[in-house]
Amino acid sequence: MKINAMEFLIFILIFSNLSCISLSKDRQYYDAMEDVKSGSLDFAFMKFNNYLREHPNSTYAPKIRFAISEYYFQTKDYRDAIDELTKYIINYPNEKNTIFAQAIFYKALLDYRTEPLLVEKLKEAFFSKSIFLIFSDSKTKSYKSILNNNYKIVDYIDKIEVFKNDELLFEIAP
Amino acid sequence: MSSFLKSRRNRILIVILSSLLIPLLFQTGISYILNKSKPRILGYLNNTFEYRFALGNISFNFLQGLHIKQASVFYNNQGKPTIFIKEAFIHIKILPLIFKRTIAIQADINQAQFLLNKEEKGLNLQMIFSDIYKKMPKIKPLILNKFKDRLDISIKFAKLIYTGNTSFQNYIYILIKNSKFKQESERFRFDSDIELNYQLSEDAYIARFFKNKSIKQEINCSIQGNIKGKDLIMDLILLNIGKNQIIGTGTTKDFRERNPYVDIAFMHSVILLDNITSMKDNFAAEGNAFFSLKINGPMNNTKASIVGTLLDCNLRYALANAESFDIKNFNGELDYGDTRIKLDKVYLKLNTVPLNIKLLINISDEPDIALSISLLREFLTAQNLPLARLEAVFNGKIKKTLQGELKLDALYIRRGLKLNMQAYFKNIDFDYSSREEKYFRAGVIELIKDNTLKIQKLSFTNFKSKVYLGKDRIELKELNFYGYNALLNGKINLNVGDKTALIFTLEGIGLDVKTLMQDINISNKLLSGSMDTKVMFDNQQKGFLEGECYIKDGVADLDLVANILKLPSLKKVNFDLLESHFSLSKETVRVNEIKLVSPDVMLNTSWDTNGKIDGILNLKIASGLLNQSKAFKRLLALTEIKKPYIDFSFLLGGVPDSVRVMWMKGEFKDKIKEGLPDWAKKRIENNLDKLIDGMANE
Repeated sequence: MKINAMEFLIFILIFSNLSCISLSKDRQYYDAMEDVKSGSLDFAFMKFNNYLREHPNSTYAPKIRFAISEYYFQTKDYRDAIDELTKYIINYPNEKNTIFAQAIFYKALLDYRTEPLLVEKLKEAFFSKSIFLIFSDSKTKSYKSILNNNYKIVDYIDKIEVFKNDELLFEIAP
Repeated sequence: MSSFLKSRRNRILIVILSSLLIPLLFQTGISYILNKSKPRILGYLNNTFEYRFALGNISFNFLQGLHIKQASVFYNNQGKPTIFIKEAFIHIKILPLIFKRTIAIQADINQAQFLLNKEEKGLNLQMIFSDIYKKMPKIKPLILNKFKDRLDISIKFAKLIYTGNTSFQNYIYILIKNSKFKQESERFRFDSDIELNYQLSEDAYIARFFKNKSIKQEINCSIQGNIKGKDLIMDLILLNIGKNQIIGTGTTKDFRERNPYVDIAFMHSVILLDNITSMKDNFAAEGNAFFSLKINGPMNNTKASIVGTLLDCNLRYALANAESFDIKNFNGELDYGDTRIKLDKVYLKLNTVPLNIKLLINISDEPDIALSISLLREFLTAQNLPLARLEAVFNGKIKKTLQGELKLDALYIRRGLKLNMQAYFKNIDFDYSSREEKYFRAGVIELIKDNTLKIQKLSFTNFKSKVYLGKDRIELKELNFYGYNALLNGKINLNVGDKTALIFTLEGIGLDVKTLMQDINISNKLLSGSMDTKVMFDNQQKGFLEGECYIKDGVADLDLVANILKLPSLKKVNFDLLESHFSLSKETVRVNEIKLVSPDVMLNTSWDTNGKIDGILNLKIASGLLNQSKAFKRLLALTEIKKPYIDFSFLLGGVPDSVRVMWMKGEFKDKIKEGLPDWAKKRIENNLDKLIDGMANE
């Protein structure tokens, strides 16, 4: 099959445009990540927000939304944290880090001292699955967010402990 | 002149005697003539008014006028006279007699009896009055002179008996005493003492509540008014009931017609219940009733309506058979109409239990009834009952028995969790009227518990029990019903004294576990079997519910253990007996013991749950069965264990719907090594650790 010059040119143009779009998208993300690394969380937050506005369905979206929620929570903006985490839990029920979003949500509700019924329901959700601890007294799940926070949820027979950066965030029992 | 007449004294004597004798002779003569003319008089009356008249005796005297004894008027030729006057005196004007007119000015009736009945076209007495009145002007008026002249009628004693049948009265009569009717030209006034009497039939349910099975009320009645054309206007109606006075006005339109229209309205009035004799005597009633009363309609079909409010009324009653009630602080709205009785916004204390009540009865031969009773939340809290709501709603009919559907609705709150609990009793048949022993039956019973996450229910049929009502207590004995292929029986005892005490016991033999578990939805791990159970409830005890279950020849799904031990066959374990003992308190659900016995598995577990589980599960699994698992096969080969069963122990945690299970390595190792000689223990130590760690990683 012979490709004439015009067809080749069109192919190159389309490919290069697509690449530019993709590169530009990734650059935005990495720019924000650079801010995270340098500790400029406010700039990172703004850039993540811009990124989501432009690319709401990106594969990075769940991670970024989680980071935005974390940012609100860290800056003690509980109202926005609760709103954002509610959306997160509803939109990404099956994400690996949803359980960690629930944990931050629970902590935000506790700190904000609102919605006691919702706190109870969340508590029930933490204990809604059977767990088998075979020859071990606990099971651990962990997640590192793009804001570089390490979260750990440790299930015991009678309680759950949630850690953030190896610091106990809270402990709950059924 | 004879010598006799010459004497002045004799002449005076003759004059005196003559003045006495002549009137006496005249009087006797008239009486004789009247009695002689009785057939003619009766014939005249019968022909003129077309009613049958009867007259016992008639005489005349100057002082009292016509003296009539045993005068009767018969309606429709009935055997008993509709109007019977035992004795009456009628004063007539003498002058009109010269012109052959008889004008009565006064009638004094000493004793009379009237039989009142509702006819299709009117009340019989009104029809007699109307017919006689209309025919009077054509002849010479006998008694009522078109109401143009003065007329006084007095009745010393009369009995007005209602002969129509009503649902629960044998007969109703009114005693009229010292009654006076005075009419001058168009004005009239009526004053009377009236005694209303309802004699209740022996078998009427409400008769038991009234001494001598009668309801009596004395009323002093006074009516003033005038006649305007065809209408009788009652400007003032005054009813004195005890010290209370009820004031009204009214009109009888076309009062001379056979079935005039009556329209009476009483002002909004207050009456003290202790002024109502039957309420005071039978129920020791106290309190106030504010109400307005209206009576209107054609005379043979008047409708009464009452709209009122009851304020802080107290009523109490105790029957010999201990059926009793004590109602205090009865407050509410009453609306009584032709077709309905409505009680709304009622608050009362029934035997110290505070209740909110709504009642609607549609009056008919078999009245429809809608009743809603709910307990106050404050009371539930004070009684230490973990309920936020308890309501009973009945819809049905009052026949010889009470028939319909009953719904009990409760909101049970435990640790912030709301449980809606409902009990439906369908096709109810309650023999409320029996005195000592009443039966209560229900075709279908459904018990439903809904905590928004899951619905649990129980369905039963053919519920039968005997009900005994006593002072502050209700007992249901010989209670039995069918469900899940079994007959269940028990008894219920409810005491509502100072502290509400509810005790019931229930026993069932041979319940089908499969369908029971599908409905009760507490576990999907029991697949089949036949269950014998006994449950005891006593709200006064800390552990208010205790029970035991024995399931024979069943199948259980031990999936938790199956998943841990990688033994799929444990998902379907045939067992000979599963025994469970449990108790519930406000804080804790305690399963004292569950024992499962089967050839391959022996299970023993117990736990407490106060929302969370805290327990232990011990298992003995046949070595033969364990050999199905590669890991256990290796383990058994390594240890050369010849024991028929291997022991396992698990810790249980979490919540009832999602249990957390912990299998402890140290304990398992100890159990494996149990019974092995020391040298064997040492020999397998390393390999055992590797095997067990391998099992954990698998």
